Amino acid sequence: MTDTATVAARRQPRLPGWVRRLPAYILVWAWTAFTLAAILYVVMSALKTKREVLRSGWNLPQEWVWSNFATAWTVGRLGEYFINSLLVVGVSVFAILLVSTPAAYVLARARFRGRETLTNLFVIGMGIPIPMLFIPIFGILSYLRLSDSLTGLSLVFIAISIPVTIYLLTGFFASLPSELEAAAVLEGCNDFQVFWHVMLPLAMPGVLTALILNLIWLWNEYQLSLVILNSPQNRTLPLGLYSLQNAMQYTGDWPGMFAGVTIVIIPTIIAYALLSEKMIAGMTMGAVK
Amino acid sequence: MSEASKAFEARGVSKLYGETAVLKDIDLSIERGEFVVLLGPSGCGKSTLMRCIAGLEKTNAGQMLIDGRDVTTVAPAERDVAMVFQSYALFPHMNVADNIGFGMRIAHTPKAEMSARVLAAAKLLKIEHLLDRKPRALSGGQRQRVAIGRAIVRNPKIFLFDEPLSNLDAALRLETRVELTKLHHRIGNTMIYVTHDQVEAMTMADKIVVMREGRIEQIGSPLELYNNPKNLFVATFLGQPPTNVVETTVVQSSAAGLTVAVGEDHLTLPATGTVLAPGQTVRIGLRPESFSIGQGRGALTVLVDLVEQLGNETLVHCQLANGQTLTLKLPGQINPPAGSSLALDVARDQTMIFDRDGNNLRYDGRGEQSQRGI
Repeated sequence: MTDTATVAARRQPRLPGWVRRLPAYILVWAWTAFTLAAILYVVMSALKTKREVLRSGWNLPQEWVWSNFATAWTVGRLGEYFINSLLVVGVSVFAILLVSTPAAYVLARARFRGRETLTNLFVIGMGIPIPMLFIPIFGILSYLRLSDSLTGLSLVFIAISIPVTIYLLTGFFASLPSELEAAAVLEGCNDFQVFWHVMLPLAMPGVLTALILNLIWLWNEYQLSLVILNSPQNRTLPLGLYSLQNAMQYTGDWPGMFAGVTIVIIPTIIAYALLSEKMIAGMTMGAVK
Repeated sequence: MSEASKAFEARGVSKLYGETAVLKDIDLSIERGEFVVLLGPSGCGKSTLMRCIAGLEKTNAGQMLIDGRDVTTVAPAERDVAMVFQSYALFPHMNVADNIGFGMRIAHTPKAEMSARVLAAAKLLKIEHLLDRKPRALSGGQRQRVAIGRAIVRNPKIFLFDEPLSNLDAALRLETRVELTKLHHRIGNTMIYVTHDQVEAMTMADKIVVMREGRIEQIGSPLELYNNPKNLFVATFLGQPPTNVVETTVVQSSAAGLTVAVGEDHLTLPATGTVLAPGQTVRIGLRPESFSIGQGRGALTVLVDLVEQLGNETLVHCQLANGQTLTLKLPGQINPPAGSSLALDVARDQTMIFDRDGNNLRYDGRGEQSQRGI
């Protein structure tokens, strides 16, 4: 039975490449269409009046109500939250890369006892579910008098992102040719100079990938922020959006909320558009060498 | 010559990777200005030896001296050596000028001096028009020149070349080989060159170091090694096509000469130092070019298997009566049909005779002793 099946399969001419790739194309296009539709709906609704959002669905706005953005920015206090998010995410991403990049280089390249154990320790760190950490983190932050503060949130973001960032970058550094290091050493570089002048510039696609991945996940991070931050003036954008949605129950200002959503997603879209080419180069590096 | 004038010296150098010894008790001395080729099959330890000289690998035993100074534990950058890597190891994010000047930048050399020296090196290698390009915009041959430029600009005591021609196509390899030799004549620095290609070794070296399994088999000038190999390994490694090795039986051995039986033919060769017992099996080495088509009966009769025409010469693959194969390199264009028989004469003074352990009984060690400085 299996024999005849394989023989039959062998006799069939191979399908042309584009036919074999068709299912993948359909899936990718469907996904893209869905995402674009969702974004389009949000942005369109952000420009409509309250009444129109509920009635017209997918129609274009009859008149463009830009004031929804102003409402979300000021009345919804998204302006303040935007600054908070920018501060927390900016400082966190910078610190994450500052710590992870040299650490990953050393873990990928240096030869010392315990290197693998140390690498594995970081990998284990990636496997811990974040909700499990809520209570210990809250306890530690209270002890340090850093709960309900942006500094505290930043520290938690940094600590939680370091394992996955190191893991990602270790792979990058490991894929760089070791002859370049040897050449730099012979040219008179000390260990730090090898890193700074040769290996870091070459790992830049990887560093940018790490940057954008961290940027997106921290920008959208909700759970930890909710646990750590209490005061309204400390809220980050995702928390602000949530409070805006709560307020919606009383005001019915759906376009205002959609304007808020637009404000939250635009920075990540811009960052991605600026860095995506480098990031894709980084993700495929090593695969096509 | 005095001890201090040696450009490089290794005394009993050994290197282990875990339990495996990759270099075993290496003794080597190199004169100033010499072009020395480390030759051997892959895995023989030649690249490891070079990396040890550069300081990129630590040795486990022995001593290394550069210009009389003990550098065994000295950092790579302070050994005053420059290395050209097999992959060239150009920094992809820097242009040609920055690549060549990188060492000087690290050493905080003044900008004016730096660019003058970079330009001088680039002119020497005829790459001054490429200084603004990134490595990825260069051809293989150009990248190679940049890598050499990065070495030259530092004017090191010793240049190290790790199979630098293996990534080039055949025509460019020939051209670069000649240019490297010319470059060596012009700048006169000591050069150590690693390769597994015996043609490169023969054509470029002042001195060849043949290595096998972490040991030095023989050291000598190219022709010394070719004409007077110490053992079967050196004899078969040098020469293209390789030396024919034929199993023979001793018929008669005396101070006057040695007669061996090759199948049904008898071959009389000049005597060796040792007298061999009749009936004993010895292997003889016959260079492909030591044959000629015999007048009349000839010394050996062979059956032709296959003929390869190279234009100026002809390679004939053939068989002895007892099935052992021979490759002949005959001048000119001849075309004996496959299956026909040929009567061959052998240049007897070019034959090598190997004992059971593969040692050349004709080997005359005097050349090597002078090379080793004993």
